Amino acid sequence: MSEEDFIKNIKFINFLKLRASFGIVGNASIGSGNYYDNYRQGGTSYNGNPTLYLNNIGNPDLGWEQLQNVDVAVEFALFGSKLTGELAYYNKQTTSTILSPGLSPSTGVPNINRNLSESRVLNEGLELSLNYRIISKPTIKWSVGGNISRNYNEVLGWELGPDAVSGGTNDTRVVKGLPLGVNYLVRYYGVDPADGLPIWLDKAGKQTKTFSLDHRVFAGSVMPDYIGGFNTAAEYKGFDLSVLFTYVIGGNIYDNSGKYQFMGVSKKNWNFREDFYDRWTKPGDVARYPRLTTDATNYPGLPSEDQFNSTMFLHDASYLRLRELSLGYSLSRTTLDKLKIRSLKFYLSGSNLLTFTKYPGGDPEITRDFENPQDRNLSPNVTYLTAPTQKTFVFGINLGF
Amino acid sequence: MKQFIKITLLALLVFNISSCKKFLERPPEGQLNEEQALKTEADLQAFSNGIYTLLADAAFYGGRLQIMNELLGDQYRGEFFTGDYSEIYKRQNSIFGGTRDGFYSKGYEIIARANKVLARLDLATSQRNLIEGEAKLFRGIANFELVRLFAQPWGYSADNSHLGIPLRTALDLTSQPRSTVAQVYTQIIADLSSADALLPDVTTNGKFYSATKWAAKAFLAKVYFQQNDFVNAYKFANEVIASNKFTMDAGFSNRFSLGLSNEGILVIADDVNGFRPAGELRGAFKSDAGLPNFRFTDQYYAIATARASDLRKAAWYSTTLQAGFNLLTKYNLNNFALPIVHLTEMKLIRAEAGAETGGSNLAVAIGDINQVMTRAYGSTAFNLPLNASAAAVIAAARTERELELVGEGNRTQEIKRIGARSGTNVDRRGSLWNCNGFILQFPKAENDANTAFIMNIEGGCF
Repeated sequence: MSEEDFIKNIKFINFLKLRASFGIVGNASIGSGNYYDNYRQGGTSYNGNPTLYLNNIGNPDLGWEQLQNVDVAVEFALFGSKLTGELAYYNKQTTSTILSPGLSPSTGVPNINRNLSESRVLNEGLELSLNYRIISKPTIKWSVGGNISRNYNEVLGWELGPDAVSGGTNDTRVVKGLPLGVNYLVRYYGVDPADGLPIWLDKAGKQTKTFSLDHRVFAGSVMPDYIGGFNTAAEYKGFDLSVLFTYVIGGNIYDNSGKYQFMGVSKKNWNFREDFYDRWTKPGDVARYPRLTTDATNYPGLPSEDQFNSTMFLHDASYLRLRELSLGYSLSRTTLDKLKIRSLKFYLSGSNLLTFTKYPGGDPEITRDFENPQDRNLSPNVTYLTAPTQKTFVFGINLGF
Repeated sequence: MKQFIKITLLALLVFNISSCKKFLERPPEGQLNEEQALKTEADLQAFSNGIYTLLADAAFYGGRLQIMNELLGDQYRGEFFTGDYSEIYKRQNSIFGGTRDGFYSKGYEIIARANKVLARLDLATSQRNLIEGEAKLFRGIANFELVRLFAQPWGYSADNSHLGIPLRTALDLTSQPRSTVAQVYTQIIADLSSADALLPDVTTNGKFYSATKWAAKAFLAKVYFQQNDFVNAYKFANEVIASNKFTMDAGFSNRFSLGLSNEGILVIADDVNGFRPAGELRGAFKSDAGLPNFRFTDQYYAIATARASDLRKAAWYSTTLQAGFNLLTKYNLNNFALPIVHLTEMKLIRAEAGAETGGSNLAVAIGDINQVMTRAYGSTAFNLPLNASAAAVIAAARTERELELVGEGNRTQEIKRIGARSGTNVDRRGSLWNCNGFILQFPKAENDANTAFIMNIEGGCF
């Protein structure tokens, strides 16, 4: 647009570009052959005779999943190209989602892939990135930048019950009117100081000391409200310094391994975590966690330790992290000429050096490798002994001849 | 000429489009649709053969079925079970649990495949009776095992109008509500009776690795016995025994062996080059290569070994393989053929049903229980006198039944049957035989597919 006549004359605009796109696409990452019945010759015989199996029945009504994508963005450079940036908006809506839920297991066939005709999932986002060059001289340079994005997602239409599609074993759900991958948990209210047993809230919000899966409500979301980062870079004579912070605001982490760590060295031989020390030990104690038990079923109503999913293990996912810090010194031309080398730079850099978070379970940046796509989509922030992001320190010398 | 070229091009184009369509519209390599898979009687027979392996799949008779029943029983130490096993052991099974879900789905997979066979009998010719009989036997067995675990037992309500399981007689995708227990048993008996009429009395190779009418009769005996219908239980157990096709093994090491037992009425073959059953069963109980999950309570072990001369003590138990634990050794082979139903159980049914029905049956019953006890104790020392009372025979039959069928998924159903028979609570853990949690919960997916699906009531047991 900056080439257009009506903008060419505006002095403070150096560059301006508007881009927009619209499209409807399908989803290619869906297994083939779902359209047909799936009979297969058995690999093993029975009693010396050949076998034949019906692995699944086909769905001749299967059609394309549709993703409707609208994309608008403005790229700009202003004030002598000192301020550059981009503002982008996208809106993606998936309809006729292909999933394989909701078939009664007594049909005796595995779930079949089908289009959920009433499904509509919205992904909407606004992303802003800005960079400002404060000083830009041969001997001294300084710039700052940052970005923030708001990704919003909501299930606009959905025909199945709350447990029909879950994020694998991770207690996240798909529910109309809520973000994709919402947690579905019993609310933990606190500890009864008298006996150290947990107090839960039932669906109506009433306190109860009897756990029940019927008390589950939609609580929390594994999607953050905002994510982004900010950085600064400076150069002075031979020195250069760059700093990058990243942050996440809002959203939750569901600490799925916490429920076992909480039990410690009991049935499952897990290690006990230090933050669980804050628990009830004697009448009158006001503690964050209930009294010690080797078996979760000692808490009334809890069927087994596997069902011990509650907001007790749901945490705020916000964090601020010093992602990268790098300090370098390059030798000057004159020195280099004397040494007869082309370049020499010493540098010291580190990544993930500092993290500010309220999350007690270790690293709040969850990068999990789920085996199935449903888990990846629905439970990105559900941790199960996820390895933390590594902290690195690098000292280096760059020598060029 | 131009016209000709145009027509040729057009024809080529049309031809190309149609061939392209054909090329695209086919299932992926190795995947067959029904037209390709089921063309002949041999195909239908191969499909039916596959159901034998489903019946003995890890998630059904290959172990899970016995595990579910044993967990609910009262012979094991509960403190070592975790997760799903712990829930079931504690008789507080909840709406989630992959172990239970897998078992349920496998049972219905057997039923769905049997229904498919029955829907395609048009392909059957010379083997029609066998194929139809097998399908009905499989469906009857699966419904029987499922209804016993997912519903309160026969006799829980006076007219058995309490809820059973969804009944499916055709493969379709709609959700089905639960039928009553009476309806489910009616279907089971109809299927097994029909299988009895259709199936042959011998197999082609003389082994009982495929279905015969004796398997159908043996299951009818089991079903009627579970219903405390002793006249019919006696009748069918008697027919199986009187066929003289099966003989009691001399000792106790062959029931789960590679073809050494003569007791098996329906046996899943172990084939080195094919299907090998019972992996999950061994995984849960095998005690010679590590400590298994299932460890008997001292209370049960004392009962099981109360009589010093009991040969089953040395044959089936060990307290030394894993020091400090009372373990089962019944399944300690690496592989074995898996009897689904066997002659010892028929003898025990005839013994108890014979005592219950009385008259001339009582003498037969005394003969049966004495045969079982003579083998067990290595002598006639504990045998009942020939004028023993019916009550004494019943008591002995119940005791021997528990000991003979240890680890085979028997005990829980006995607690319920005896409860329904006389209102007696024999559970050593102190639960009432009809407490709510004494059955498995349905998978939540049934309720997700159909919100009107009525789930079981949980809890209320010890």
